[in-house]
Amino acid sequence: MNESVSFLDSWFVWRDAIIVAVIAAATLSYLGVWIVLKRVVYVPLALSQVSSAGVVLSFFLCGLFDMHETASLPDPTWMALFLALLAAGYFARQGQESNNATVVAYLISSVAALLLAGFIRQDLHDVQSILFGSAVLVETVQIVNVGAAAALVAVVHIVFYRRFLFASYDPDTAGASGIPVYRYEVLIYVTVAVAISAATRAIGALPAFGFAVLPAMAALRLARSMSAAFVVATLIGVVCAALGYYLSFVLELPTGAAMVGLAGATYLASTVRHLRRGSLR
Amino acid sequence: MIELEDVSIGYCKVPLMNHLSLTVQPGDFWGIVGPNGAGKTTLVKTIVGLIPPVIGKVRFDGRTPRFGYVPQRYALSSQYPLTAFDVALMGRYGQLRIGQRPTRHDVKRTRDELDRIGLDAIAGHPFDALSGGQRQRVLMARALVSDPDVLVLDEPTSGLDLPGEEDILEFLRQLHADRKITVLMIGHHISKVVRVADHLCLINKDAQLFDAGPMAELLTEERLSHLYRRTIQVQRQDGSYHVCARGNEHE
Repeated sequence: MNESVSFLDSWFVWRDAIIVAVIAAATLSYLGVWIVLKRVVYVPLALSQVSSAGVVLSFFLCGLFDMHETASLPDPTWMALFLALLAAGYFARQGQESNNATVVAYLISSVAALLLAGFIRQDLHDVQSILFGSAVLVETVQIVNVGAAAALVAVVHIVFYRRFLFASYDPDTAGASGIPVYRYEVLIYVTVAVAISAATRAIGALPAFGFAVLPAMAALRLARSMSAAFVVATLIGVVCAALGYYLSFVLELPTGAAMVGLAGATYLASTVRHLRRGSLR
Repeated sequence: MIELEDVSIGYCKVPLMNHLSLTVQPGDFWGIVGPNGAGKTTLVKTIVGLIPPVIGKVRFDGRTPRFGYVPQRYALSSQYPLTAFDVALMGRYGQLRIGQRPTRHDVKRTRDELDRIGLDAIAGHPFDALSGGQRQRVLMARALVSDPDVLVLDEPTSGLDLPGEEDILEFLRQLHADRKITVLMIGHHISKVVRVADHLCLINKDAQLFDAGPMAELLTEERLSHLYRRTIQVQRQDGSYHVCARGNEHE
């Protein structure tokens, strides 16, 4: 009770962070349903790493050309987004054979980030906070970025939902009926890239990847229709983000790990329920 | 009319087969046969526009026809939580404007097609829980709700038991007779294909063999033995054909 009171009393401290976490979790958990169904679960991991490499590259270029003024720095957010979009286009081109491409992209961007980080003049702590976010201290610009990414995902997916479904489920038949499958593949990957880049910088790489996979996997174990899968995944994401935040406050746990841990526990519970249901049949 | 004239088919600009010519007239029922890996699916995917021809063009008389494609049912993921109705309704998606929801007419059209194909009672069942034959019929209903000019089927009887095969072939025969729809059907077993098709396309990329024409012209022991590299026997009895393979390799 005391923890609850102090948690609520300090609302002004964590308000922005929890808003960002909930929006990011909802967006990624929704997109996760597509990611899991398309069997490309490594894509969000690779995209978050590619966008991290974009941030490091931005700082590296700044140092290389001796650009001390912030105005002349290639903006880390845009660089991260630009590289993530390039990678998304490449993954979409690979289609369902994208596993190798995502692993290669992950490794190359990890190596590039590590190597370039050694040449960065800025305080490494600053770079890391931009790279991975803290999920605790959130700037207003991150609320705007995550909110804008969520709005973009919502609009694109409402408009193109049926095309996305047909093109993902049965690309050959969709293509034969005149639907430009590759265009819609790219569009899905672009929305994932935008959401992952914004979320990685706001809540960190681990929670971003966790929310892009675990709630959707749990939801697909429980749901019997596509709409139910989207709703359940989004609810799981929102609840795990908010509850994870609360638990991290009262139990003094790392915030990102608490949120992903809850999502993982939800997935395990859904698997047990799924197995029990199967054994009862 | 669909016309291929001196076309090369293949993937990524690498030709698998060259100099293919084929003319499909409206209302024809074509059976496309050949051994495994002969290039049957590549040919069909080229015709429906999924793969561009390496050389040449696929020509249509007038507008591009609307294709109702029925893929091999194994190609579909079982992870999607979709009902039989959801899958059949997808056949209307190609005709919806971007952002448009299916109309009452789309829903009714889908229900009617499922009813016609004898699956209305299980429309709400998970697609993945249906039997092989039922899934195949749902995929056919999906192709038909798109009101296709050409129905294209990729081994529709593959993996089905004998009654399932018979049901599908009978349904296709009836459909062709009733609607006079053009059908291109890839068949695994030529003995089944010859019972419903009126034209044959024999294809084997390894032997660089491609023959297309009316059934009576192409269904000869010599051509089929060349196609399958086995001695094939063809018997005609009461207007229908019986095809069987002998064990020995054909020279």
